[in-house]
Amino acid sequence: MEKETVRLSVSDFVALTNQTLEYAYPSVEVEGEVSSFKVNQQKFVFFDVKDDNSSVGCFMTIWQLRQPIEDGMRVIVTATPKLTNWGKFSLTVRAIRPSGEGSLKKSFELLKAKLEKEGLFALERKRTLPPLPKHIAVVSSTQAAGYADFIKILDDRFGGLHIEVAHVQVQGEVAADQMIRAIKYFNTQEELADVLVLIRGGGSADDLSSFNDELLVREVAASRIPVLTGIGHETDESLVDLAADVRGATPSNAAQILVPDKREIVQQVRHLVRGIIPTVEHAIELEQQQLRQVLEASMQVFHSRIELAENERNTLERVLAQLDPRAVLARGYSIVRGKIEVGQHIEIEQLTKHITAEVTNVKSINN
Amino acid sequence: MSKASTIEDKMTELRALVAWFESDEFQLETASAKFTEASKLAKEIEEDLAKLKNTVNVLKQSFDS
Repeated sequence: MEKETVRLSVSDFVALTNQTLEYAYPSVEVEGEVSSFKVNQQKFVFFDVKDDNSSVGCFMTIWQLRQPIEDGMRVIVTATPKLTNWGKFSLTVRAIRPSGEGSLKKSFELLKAKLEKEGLFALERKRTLPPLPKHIAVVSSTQAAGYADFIKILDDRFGGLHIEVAHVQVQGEVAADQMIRAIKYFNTQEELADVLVLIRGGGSADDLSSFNDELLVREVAASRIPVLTGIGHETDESLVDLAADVRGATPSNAAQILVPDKREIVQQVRHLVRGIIPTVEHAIELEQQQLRQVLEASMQVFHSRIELAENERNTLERVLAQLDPRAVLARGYSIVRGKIEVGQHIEIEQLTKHITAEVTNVKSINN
Repeated sequence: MSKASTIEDKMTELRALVAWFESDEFQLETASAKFTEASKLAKEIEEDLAKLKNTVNVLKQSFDS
């Protein structure tokens, strides 16, 4: 039996074709090279994606363009195929991302230059992280190995932290938007976290490309909460890293930057207390030294007083000795007692003798 | 027992005590009591560090849209 031929109006044909396309390809990813890239009225983006044999037109709005694109770049577009009312077939693009190392790098460099010019990566914008944050907001996938490493190291290093986690996708088409919403959520809470941490383990350049999304980079730069990143491996550097206040080389390194190691604090505390002992010992020694000095000074005064007294006594002794009549007698003199008149008896005292004599003559001597 | 409640506060208190030993206010008569106070505080900090655990709260809401 012959199939009935359907007769449709042009509009119905276009509508039916679109319905069929939508049913067959509600969403499709097409990979190819960009050509004829142009932006009309600062709103509408038109370009073709092509390979060696085919080419297809693409349409999207400028707001959906999250990474710089230019001719010659290899891209993956996420789109819905559509036949326009003018009969032109095109892909209505929801998302576009560079594909392949060269294109990713090119797009990265273009956006980096643009945002750098705006000052988003300027050093003077960087804030320091609190030395000991208590409330930590984390944006990550809870299934990611990087997240597990981050939490494990935090637990190992410090306790008493309140960690709030926004579970989001960290790669793929929706990752950037989910992370943006999570950052907005934390920034609009009544009680802000002390620090916001973006965590994602290692991956290919394509896996990490969400962290080069322009809107996400701008959201990070605008965050009221200081932002720390721990994305990929040490050699991976994303634009989000550049916009963040502090970059950790890896999720583990981010945890190390965020909190001090409790073992180091214990050492520091012990060192502080031990440091007091020499200070006290020194003070005691100083006090003893001062005491010794005072005692020595007192002894010196005491000794000089004794010496002075001894000298005084010696002088007196010498004076007394000189005044002793016996000393005069010792030199050969005599003491004469009695009336010095002829016929009278007198007493003569010498050192070793007492003599009684009679005066026989008295004669005056004129000197 | 120290009046300070957090480890950070206790560390600040300990640093102030240690600084007293180096300051002009230092007196040998009160040094022993201050040293005992610093040692107790250091012990408290070590105990706090050993017993404090982290709490992780994964938000229930979705960030899909």
